[in-house]
Amino acid sequence: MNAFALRAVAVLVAAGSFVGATAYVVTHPKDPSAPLQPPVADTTSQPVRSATPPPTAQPSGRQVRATVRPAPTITLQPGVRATELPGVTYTHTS
Amino acid sequence: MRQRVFTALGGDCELYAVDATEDELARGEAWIHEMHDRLTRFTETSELSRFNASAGRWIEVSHELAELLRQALRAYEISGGLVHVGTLAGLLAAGYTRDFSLGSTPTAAPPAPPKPLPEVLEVRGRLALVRPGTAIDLGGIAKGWLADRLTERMAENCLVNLCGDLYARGAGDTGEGWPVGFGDKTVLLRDLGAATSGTTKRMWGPGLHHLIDPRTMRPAVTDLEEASVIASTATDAEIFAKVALLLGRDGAQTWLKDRALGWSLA
Repeated sequence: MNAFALRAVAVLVAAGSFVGATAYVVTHPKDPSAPLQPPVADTTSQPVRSATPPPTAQPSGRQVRATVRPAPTITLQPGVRATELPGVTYTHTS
Repeated sequence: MRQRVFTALGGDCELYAVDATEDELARGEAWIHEMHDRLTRFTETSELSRFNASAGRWIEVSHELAELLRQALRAYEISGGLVHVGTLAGLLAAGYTRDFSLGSTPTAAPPAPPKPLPEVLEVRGRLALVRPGTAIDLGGIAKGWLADRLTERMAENCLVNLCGDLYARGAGDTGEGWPVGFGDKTVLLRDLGAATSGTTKRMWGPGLHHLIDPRTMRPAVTDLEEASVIASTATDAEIFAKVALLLGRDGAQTWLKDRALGWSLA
């Protein structure tokens, strides 16, 4: 009898957990306060330009430009040409 | 290609060289730290602070400070007075009284616009004089000038980026020029400088930022958030970018056309 009661309690706990977890997930499809994913690589020692900059508390000028601002108006005089090569660095406000 | 990244002059600095040793890059970094200690306005013992404290007297300054003060006078001249290193009082009144990382201080009424720079700052060889009531803040001019000078010292084929003000010397490791992010493009720079001036990075309240308009001694009111410029030197690029920001979009397009080699306005 005790064994049967223990099994019944275990089944009820498992079923309750399943139902509860399912209900939570269904009602919480997105949690804005969820922690950010850790960076996949340490970029502090080798700065690179990123098309999708990682989020920071205070975005840099380039990050703001990439995510919020309209595209800048660029004029290049003869003698300076654009390239498809990745930049080794970039000019930015300080 | 070798590279070295460090913090100085209030931001991130990067050195790149195709033909330099680690020791040469390390010496370059050491020189920037030395210049930072001499030129900062945030310590009372820096050479710049001692120069400001000596207002009214001719004093002997280092070769580097003398040259930077000459560049400041030149910047005033070619900018029609818009780049004025004697606006420190306006910056202090706006609340930027200490290192930016420590936060701002309460604002005060802006002081009267400064006198023309040549009337309050004189340089003869290594002797310099600042008139009482004026204090100098070299700001971006120092970063641009240091980038220009360090590339000369470091290597034939190198790039120095000091907090966004940069100079690219030589053809880079591809032989075509150094690829550098500029606005939302990448451009190839060879023996050219680039710099950016903006109002959004060092901002501590609505309308409060570090770019003081010498005409009002208040933070500049402009329809641009950022201006990036390519010029023959980083020093000139820095001067031109600041003028562009102060003039606003329409004025900048006209002003830059005959002076800069490229510009990005946002």
